[in-house]
Amino acid sequence: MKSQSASLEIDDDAALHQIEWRIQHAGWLIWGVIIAAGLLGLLGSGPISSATATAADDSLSIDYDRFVHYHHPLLVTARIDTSQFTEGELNLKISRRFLDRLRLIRVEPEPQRQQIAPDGVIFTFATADLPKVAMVQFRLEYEKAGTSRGRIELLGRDPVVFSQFVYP
Amino acid sequence: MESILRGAAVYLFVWMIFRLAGKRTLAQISTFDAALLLIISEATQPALVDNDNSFTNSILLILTMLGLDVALSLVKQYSPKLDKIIDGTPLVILDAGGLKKTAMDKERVTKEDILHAARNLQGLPTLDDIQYAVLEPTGEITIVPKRS
Repeated sequence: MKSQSASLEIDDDAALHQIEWRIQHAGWLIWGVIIAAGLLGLLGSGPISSATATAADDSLSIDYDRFVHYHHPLLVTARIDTSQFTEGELNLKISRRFLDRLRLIRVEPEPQRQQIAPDGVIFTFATADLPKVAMVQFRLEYEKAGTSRGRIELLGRDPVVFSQFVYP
Repeated sequence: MESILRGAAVYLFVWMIFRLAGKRTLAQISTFDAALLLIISEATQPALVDNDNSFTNSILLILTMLGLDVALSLVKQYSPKLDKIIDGTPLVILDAGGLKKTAMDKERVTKEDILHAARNLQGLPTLDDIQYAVLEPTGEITIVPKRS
């Protein structure tokens, strides 16, 4: 629609401006929702993202983030009550399916040894080197986006299953 | 293939976000806006390159973005309707009836912005000297002076 004024040759489209403003306001609303979601932790770390999963027999707890970014280092922490282990060592197994989606950067404290099992990797720690409540930190980085299901267990005990959503 | 898709996604996202932000957002770049633009480009870079710092990746990204720019300009040339949607249309914010407050509020333009443009572009001291003020799709305010 051309402008009403004959002296001003201009393509001022009033209907399109109305639609534009409506879309713009809806966009601002979505914009605000995305920022709020980011603050809450739905798009990465934050209060809603932080979670803890515990094994059915309470042998192991895993602290993790529900929403993470790929190619960004993050921590998954295993909390273990070492007093339940009298054999002198504990074996922590991480499932192969979980490890296939990521790059394991570092394990802290350093395990005594690690061995490859058909369905995962077993990390062995000497209980004497660990405090009563040990924190084993896995620093990792996802290499694939999408939902990732982690399974970590102390050998012979109930597993902890948790899932993380990896944003591209 | 991933580089091209990533480049296209970033191009579309940046276009969409600046379109949503409105015409006036970066119309007149202040020192702060210039700094903001640099920060935005820094924040965009990792999403574009994704740890691939190869020459090939850079070439693919540049070709994708400039290619999309050329493709869009061709689309705009052949379809005036799409041209309006992609770039927006000019908006009259002052005419014989005076200031168009609704349009000005929606586009976040103040009377001072119009007076500034009038002084800067035409050397006009008051609103009474202006016949039309138009907010262009680029965000710039253009002034048509009254004929004496």
